[in-house]
Amino acid sequence: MTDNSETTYLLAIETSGIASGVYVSRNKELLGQVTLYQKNIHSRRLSLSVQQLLQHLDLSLKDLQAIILSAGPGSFTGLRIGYSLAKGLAHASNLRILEIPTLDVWAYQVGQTGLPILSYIDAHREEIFFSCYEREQDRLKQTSDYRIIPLLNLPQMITGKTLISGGNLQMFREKFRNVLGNHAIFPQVCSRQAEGWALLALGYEKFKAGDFSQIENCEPLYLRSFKGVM
Amino acid sequence: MILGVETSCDETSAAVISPRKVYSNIISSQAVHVDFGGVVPELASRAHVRKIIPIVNEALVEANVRLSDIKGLAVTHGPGLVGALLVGLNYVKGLALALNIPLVGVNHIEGHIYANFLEGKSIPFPFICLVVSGGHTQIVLVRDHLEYRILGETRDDAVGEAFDKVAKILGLPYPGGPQIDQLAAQGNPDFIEFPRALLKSGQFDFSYSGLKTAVLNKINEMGEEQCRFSLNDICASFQKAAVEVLVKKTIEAARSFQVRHITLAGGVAANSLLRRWMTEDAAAYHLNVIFPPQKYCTDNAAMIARAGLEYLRRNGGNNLDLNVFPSLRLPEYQKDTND
Repeated sequence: MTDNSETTYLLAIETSGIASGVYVSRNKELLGQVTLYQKNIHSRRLSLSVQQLLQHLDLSLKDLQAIILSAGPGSFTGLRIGYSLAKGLAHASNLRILEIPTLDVWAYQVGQTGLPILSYIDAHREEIFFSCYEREQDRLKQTSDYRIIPLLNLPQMITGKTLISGGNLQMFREKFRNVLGNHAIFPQVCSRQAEGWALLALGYEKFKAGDFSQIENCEPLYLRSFKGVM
Repeated sequence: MILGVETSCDETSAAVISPRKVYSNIISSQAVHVDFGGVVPELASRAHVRKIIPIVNEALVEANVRLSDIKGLAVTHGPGLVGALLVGLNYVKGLALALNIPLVGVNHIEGHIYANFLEGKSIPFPFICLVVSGGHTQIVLVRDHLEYRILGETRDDAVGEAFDKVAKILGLPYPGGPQIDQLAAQGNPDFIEFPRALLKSGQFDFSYSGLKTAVLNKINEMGEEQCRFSLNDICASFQKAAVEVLVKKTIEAARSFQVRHITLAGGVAANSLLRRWMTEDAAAYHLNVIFPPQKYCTDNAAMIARAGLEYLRRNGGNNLDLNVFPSLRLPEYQKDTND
């Protein structure tokens, strides 16, 4: 149901955390979304969410130009479910894949304030996956790698007021306060997840730049090696 | 034509089959686990994500078909490693949704049983199937297509697991089963009398953890030098103890249930002593033994596709909300007085 050849329909999948999310955009505009917050539901519901969302929007996979994946880090199993489904969809429909690091999404969704941003994802064992960003004109510029760090070591990285964005902030707020004191600034509204609209916006930019992934061998950004073997 | 996908453990496999022909059956074993002496689940899952499309593409190319030629999909949805199963299942869901064709979840054990039905072959019903692999040891009565009754199974370790663990104790490389088989051929099987657990229990259950411990104790008692000197004999004695229980119980099951045909399934079905001994004992009781071709004994997607084909014929496909079940059991039919 494409309106004209300039229209870009994108499907985004977010499974890095508690949310099982599927989103569709037309150009920069969010057309629809299905987001479920139940444990262990990704495998059963994700493909159904894709099917039903497309049906509701009167779209088919053939109308899409690419699939955007929230690439992690995060839940290894959740990420693999998203990747595996996307690989099957893309393989059979000749769709391209765009990978967006989930830490970029967390940063983007709070990126209007002008403060430096630290986005994080719980890595358990008192560690976080994180990345740092600064505003440069109308864009966010990444100022660190994607890394894993013990929370206690954060003061080495953060030396001024920084906006913190990430999952489960209710629990993490106190931890950040403890290690960063009043350098830690929190957004007024806490998201439960890396937001679909932000994932789609970053995916659209990447689509315009033609920065596609290889569907054959792309894999989640695990960031944590396993027993030293990757 | 059916596309089968198998990712339940450390093999990524894809196959294209029809009822009469296996057009391709690509199996990629993950070398990464060799360094750890066993399968590391997280590494297995990661490798499946990287390999799934290349392996499916290889299967399509070898079969000289395109995805659009495929009419149904079969995928292992248990038992197995949960993370590994999830990769195969969700990839196949993506294909099913995009191609608008049915998908069916297949029990991995059922796949092993259906290795006997590949390439147009069949076995007269009813038959007894001894399923022996690294994860399973079961005697199954197969009454008809997709109708099973588990007569007995291991209470602890699977027989293939015992082979691998004993091989590890003896310092042999992973996977140890074929190594032990090879060394045992040069050894004296009566060198040590290892225990035969539950042999005379009158039931069809197995137990292999005691045998493994017995080997460990014996090795400690013998000392390193003597053990190295008698390596072939230890392998032969262990193998004889492990295999004897399998053979005796399978024959006993066939006789008790008045079934004339016996077949083997799973990786340990490739063991040479098991094949020889089963053939000899079955002949003594006028029973017919059928072995699946060696190449379909280990984990592969052709067998999954073959079982899937039977489901698609009879029951149609599953819904997209199909899940994985790491401890999935064979679906058993309702027992009635005739059984």
